[in-house]
Amino acid sequence: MPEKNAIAIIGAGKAGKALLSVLLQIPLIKIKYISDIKKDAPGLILAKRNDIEVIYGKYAEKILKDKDIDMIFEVTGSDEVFNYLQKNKLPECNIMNYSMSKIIFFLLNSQQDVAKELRQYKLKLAERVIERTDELEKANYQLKEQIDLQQKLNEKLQQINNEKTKYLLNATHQLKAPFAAIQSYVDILIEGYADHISDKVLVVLEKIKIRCTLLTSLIRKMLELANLNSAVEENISVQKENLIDLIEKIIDDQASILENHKITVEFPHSGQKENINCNRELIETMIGILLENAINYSFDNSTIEITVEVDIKNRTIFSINDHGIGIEEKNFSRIFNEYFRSYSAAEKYKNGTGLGLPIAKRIAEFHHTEILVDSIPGKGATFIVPFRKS
Amino acid sequence: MSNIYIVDDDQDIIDAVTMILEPQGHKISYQTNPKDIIEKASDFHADLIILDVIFPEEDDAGFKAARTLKLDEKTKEIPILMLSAVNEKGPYAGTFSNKDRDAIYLPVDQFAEKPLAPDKLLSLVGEMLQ
Repeated sequence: MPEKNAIAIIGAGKAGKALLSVLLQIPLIKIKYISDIKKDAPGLILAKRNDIEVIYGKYAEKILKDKDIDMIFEVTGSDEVFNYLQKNKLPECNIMNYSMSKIIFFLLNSQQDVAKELRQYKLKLAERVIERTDELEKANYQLKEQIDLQQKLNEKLQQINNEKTKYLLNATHQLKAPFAAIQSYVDILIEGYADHISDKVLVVLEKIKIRCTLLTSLIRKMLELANLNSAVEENISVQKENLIDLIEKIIDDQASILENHKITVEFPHSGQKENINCNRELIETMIGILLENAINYSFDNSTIEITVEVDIKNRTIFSINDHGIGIEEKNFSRIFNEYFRSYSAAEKYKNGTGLGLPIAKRIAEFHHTEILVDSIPGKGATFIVPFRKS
Repeated sequence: MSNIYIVDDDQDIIDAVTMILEPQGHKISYQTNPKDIIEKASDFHADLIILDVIFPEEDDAGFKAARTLKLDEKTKEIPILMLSAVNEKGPYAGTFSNKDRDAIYLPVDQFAEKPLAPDKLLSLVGEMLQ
């Protein structure tokens, strides 16, 4: 089968070479011949390099007789050559004269320029994408390194904190054990298990016993706080508890102290259930601390009011209000600091440890809530804990 | 009157408990570590064992000893009073809260925190011996 759509170019000068180079860029076009009279015409080298047959001579008879050729570009610019070609061509073959060839050249060339620019633009874009990807990867890597470092630091801090807590736990326990032995001996003496003792000695022993009890309570609270500080929220079991029952039990536990101080607790409720999600033991401790504080800083013969209400946000609001010495506003936040005791508090109740409210605060945090304070010094104080409804 | 066996690393606690319980006519014997506890407690024909939790060599040796005692034919019927400075809110909180749910986990009959007032110790021991 003869090849179709083959092209020939007559003239391999500057114009011929330019046209050839443009045509070579177009796929599916076959350029079969190029001809010129000069053997050193500039287009010939390019033609030979691209396996195009080179024909020397003015009229290129071979081209005109080739049935494959259906288009001849005449780029010598000579009318004589064009006329000759026109006269002697095969019927299916079209001859493009110099001007038409030029127009086609410009069309193709500009199209190729656009294509070239587009290619270059694409290339540049690809380069930039690679560059940016590299940058991103680098940044990503740096970020990962930073996160790793941060994580390592956090782990280290956590480890130090755990060690500190463990040390504190051990130290307080080590303190508590021998202290328990001392207290046991004091009890044995006071209660006459050793021998009969005089009243004067008994008075001294009673004083020792009080200090022993206070120190035991301090050590116990230190242990409790250390435990809470080392506790992980995930390990604290939470279940539905009726806050009303819980409070009743806590009030019962304090019955004898309330009696001693002639303090009444008013806790009006209709026996309804106010369920909250909590760790029972911890909430008992927290409310216990708030009630003990209310008792210790109340004036004798006064009342303490406890309420449990549901607010418009459907939260269960616990509140305890006493009529005691109250708290100065500047101390509203300081009372939650470990070992802080205001002058008036220390004066009213000298046996406080300064650890109760920090413990209560930590427990509130575990329950995703907070303890709110309000007070008029000399009139009393109110502590409020809003619980999320279960 | 009964045989009461004390296992505690603190000699002062042993002495103090002895001073409270001996006048009531109880016979007291003790060891300061939980080694060979089965043999020693059964040789003494203990009616009650008062057991500490933390020993110098092992933090929870008392728990392990309690488990051993309750698993052995010779000693499984002897009531155990665990007496420790560790309290229920201490580092073993989880262990204590499990006691109702899982008697095997903390196989003691009573738990009390040191220091235990003499009258409380007496009433607890009296209750457990009945």
